[in-house]
Amino acid sequence: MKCKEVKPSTEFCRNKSTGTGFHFYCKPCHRRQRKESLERRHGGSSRHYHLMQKYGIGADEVDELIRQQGGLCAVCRKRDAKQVDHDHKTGVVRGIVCLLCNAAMGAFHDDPDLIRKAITYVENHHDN
Amino acid sequence: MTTRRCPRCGETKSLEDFARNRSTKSGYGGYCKPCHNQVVRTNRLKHHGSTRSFHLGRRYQLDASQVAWMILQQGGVCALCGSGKPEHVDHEHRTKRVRGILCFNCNRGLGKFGDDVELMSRAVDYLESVVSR
Repeated sequence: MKCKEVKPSTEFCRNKSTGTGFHFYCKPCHRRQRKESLERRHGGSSRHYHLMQKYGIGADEVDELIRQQGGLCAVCRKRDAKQVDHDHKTGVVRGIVCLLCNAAMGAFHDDPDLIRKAITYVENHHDN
Repeated sequence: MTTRRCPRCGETKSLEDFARNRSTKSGYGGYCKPCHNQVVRTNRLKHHGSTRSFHLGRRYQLDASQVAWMILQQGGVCALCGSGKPEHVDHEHRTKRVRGILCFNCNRGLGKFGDDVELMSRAVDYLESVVSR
């Protein structure tokens, strides 16, 4: 339920996309509304909400993927699978990886050829 | 004793104005903090030319001009990807030997992979298996 009270504009959040520049509901009502819709649409889990927003898969699907991978990172198979790895071009989820593998592949722009170059670079400097 | 005289500026200051130094008998540095900072800065410039050279020397036994020469020899690009801006001295962690000058992302990526060739080939397999899927 909304309070329907008349309040000064400082009691409302700023919102650039509305005509007035302010939210329709006052801050306490806005907070309550957000919490209710999070509860209704995402089971009260902000993790589920963000996963749906970013990758279009829910928390249960991610947990299922982690279970399929045996709880381990899809790349190194050593550390815990925690990060949802996705193709930056298509947005498709590739698997669940660890923080280091995810960051490493990101640093090489997900480019297999560049990682192959890195392998040659490391091997060349290792031998001599 | 709560005060101490700085022989450089000649002022007597409270002990809080002197840096701690465990290797001296008193447990405090000889000069007061502002004097100490000035001495360290001038000495660093005198012996190493620049702060960058000082740190390069400490870590890799290089100085700024040697790094600039290495970048020139690489053709002004990252030694790995050949396109990025070379600004990070890459070294093998085990032997501490300098391998080349890399761009930020290549240096970061090698660090995250832990210079592990096997892990990198697994990442290649992973990326390609997903692309072909």
